[in-house]
Amino acid sequence: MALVAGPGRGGSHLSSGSSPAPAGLVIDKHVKYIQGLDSRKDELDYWLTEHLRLNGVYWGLTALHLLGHPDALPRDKTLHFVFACQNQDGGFGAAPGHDSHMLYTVSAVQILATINALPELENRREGGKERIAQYIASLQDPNTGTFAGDEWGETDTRFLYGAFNALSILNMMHLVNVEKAVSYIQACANFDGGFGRAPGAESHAGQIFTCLGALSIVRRLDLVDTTRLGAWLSERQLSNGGLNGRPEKLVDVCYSWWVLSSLAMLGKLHWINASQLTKFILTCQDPEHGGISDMPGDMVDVFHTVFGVAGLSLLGYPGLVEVDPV
Amino acid sequence: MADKTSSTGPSRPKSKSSKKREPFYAVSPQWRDVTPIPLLDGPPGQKDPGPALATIAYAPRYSEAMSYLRAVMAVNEFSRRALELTEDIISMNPAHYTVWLYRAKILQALWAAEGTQTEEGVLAELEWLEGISERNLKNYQIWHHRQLLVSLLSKLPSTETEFLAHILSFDSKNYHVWTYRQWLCRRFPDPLLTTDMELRAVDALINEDVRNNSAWNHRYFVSFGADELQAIESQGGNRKEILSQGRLVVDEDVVEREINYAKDHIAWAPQNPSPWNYLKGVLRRAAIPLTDMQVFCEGFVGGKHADLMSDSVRSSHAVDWLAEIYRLDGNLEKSKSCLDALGKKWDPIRRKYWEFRAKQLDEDLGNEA
Repeated sequence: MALVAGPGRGGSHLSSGSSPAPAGLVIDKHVKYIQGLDSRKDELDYWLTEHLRLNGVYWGLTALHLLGHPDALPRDKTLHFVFACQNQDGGFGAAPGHDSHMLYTVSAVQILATINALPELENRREGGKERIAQYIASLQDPNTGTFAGDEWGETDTRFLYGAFNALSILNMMHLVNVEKAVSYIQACANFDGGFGRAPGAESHAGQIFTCLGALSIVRRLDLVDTTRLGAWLSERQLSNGGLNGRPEKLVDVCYSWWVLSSLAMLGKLHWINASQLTKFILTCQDPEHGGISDMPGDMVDVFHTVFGVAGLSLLGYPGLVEVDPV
Repeated sequence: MADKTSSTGPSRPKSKSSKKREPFYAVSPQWRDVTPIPLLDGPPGQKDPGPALATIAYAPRYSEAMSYLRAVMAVNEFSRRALELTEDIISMNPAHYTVWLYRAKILQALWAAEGTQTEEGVLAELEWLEGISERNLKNYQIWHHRQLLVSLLSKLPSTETEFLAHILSFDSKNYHVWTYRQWLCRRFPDPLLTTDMELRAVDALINEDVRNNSAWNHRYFVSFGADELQAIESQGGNRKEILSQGRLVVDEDVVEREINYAKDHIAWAPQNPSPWNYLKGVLRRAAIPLTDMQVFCEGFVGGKHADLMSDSVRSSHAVDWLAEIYRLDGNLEKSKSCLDALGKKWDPIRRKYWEFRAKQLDEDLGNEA
């Protein structure tokens, strides 16, 4: 799935002044927008975002499922592409010929699970699941318990969450040291109650999502000070209804997912004002060409489209498939 | 293997706009022996060279360079010309992670083969990296590459702090830069943490923008966090445990200095959440009760007996703290009036949260009865 930006802009109807804001989410337009992404090979962005393509497929596919159009992308083509991204080491790269990396490996597993293709892993090659799981497990640092993104060792709680997510889908959690990973997450807790990318790193809503998601998968949310973290997360909502990711930063639609899903895992979703956030997300959609942008007036893209739609789904927006916050 | 050793030779690809459409590698004598591998946008083995790209000005150059990259990577060629090729591709698309990893491998192989001292090689590469970093502030790969290089050195490069200040002048909240900066402090605590070098640097950033939460986080790291992390790693515990068991000694002078620092900056901008969060963190670390801050907080709402719905309130955070302080003191009625004022007037978007806090008070009351 290509990550070409545009062509539309979120909230383009607002500046034109021709018509008032649309009443609701333009589901059909968003579906068409996502379907059209891969036919845009004549645009430079298509080629410059090759290093993200497998993520893009996951985001587009997930958005389509949430929008209630799971079959809008051809299953056989998707499978073809995913398997072409797999390398000898069992991991997946962003596109055919790219080195394996945790993020793309996780996307691959998520895509296969989404289109019910996990059995095909074994059909294609015996031990297919385990081969992927072994690649992921090999990226755990035996000393600290966290995970690297690739053989070069950059670590990030995003990778830890990704590993837990994929391994739990593959039913292979026994291959890693869960206890060590959990204590690593605890070391990432900060003085303000949030979590960062690594121990000591600034609290950030995206990283909080990954830490809570990982703890949630291994049923250790009991380690979290729910009230304190919930308060920090709910403080992310600004007066225009949108959410930011860190104190004193700008709002961005993608935090509709990171903050909301985190609050949902803590059971504190109601601490933000749902109707104001819904209104904010809807002002970021392009009602004519489909797609959602990071904030009103910017170019739409598939990344913000899926997180905007997922946020609306968590808020119980009518017509959307319910999403699991983890 | 290429025999060219100069990285600044005349053959180095330059993306002059007039030549973007022309093939570069296909006509270069230096690359005559290499057969490019075109992109297969489908399963391996499928003969599909991809769609025609001629309609775009820049793409043919990029896709040509990529086809040569695939060719040299396929045979693990670690040469000068391969290094130049990575530079060419990075200049067009610095987010391509594979090309960075390959570049690092080439560098180390070349240093070994050419007898270059590691330090010399690293410093030259850092200089090259500086320009790219300025143009690509949101890019992960660049910082990872930098970390990899600097980790090979035995002492802090003298230009590094100046470079960080320069980069943060473009975006003072850049997450990659701050993460790298913490790594650098832990890699070279001497002199960064053993002297007041980092503390002065972070003070300058906070004074420039008192709302820079990243800088506040770093201040905590410099004053307390680095010690905490060391204890966590050496004792194999977690932060909460280590703090609660009082295993970590605090320097009372540092605590006092930091409490005053936070208070001064709260007074400067009372509605700024960062120093409030910071102050709470310092108090917790030093096991100082929140109730010690009662007079300080009351100073931001108009005094002990102020009307919390009136404009004498200058900080909703102070009202929030007072709600907790009064609760701890057993003054539940006063605590409740703080929470009411927050939900109704000062922070209505989070009304549900303040209602939750008020409900907890009712439970406290129930327990007492």
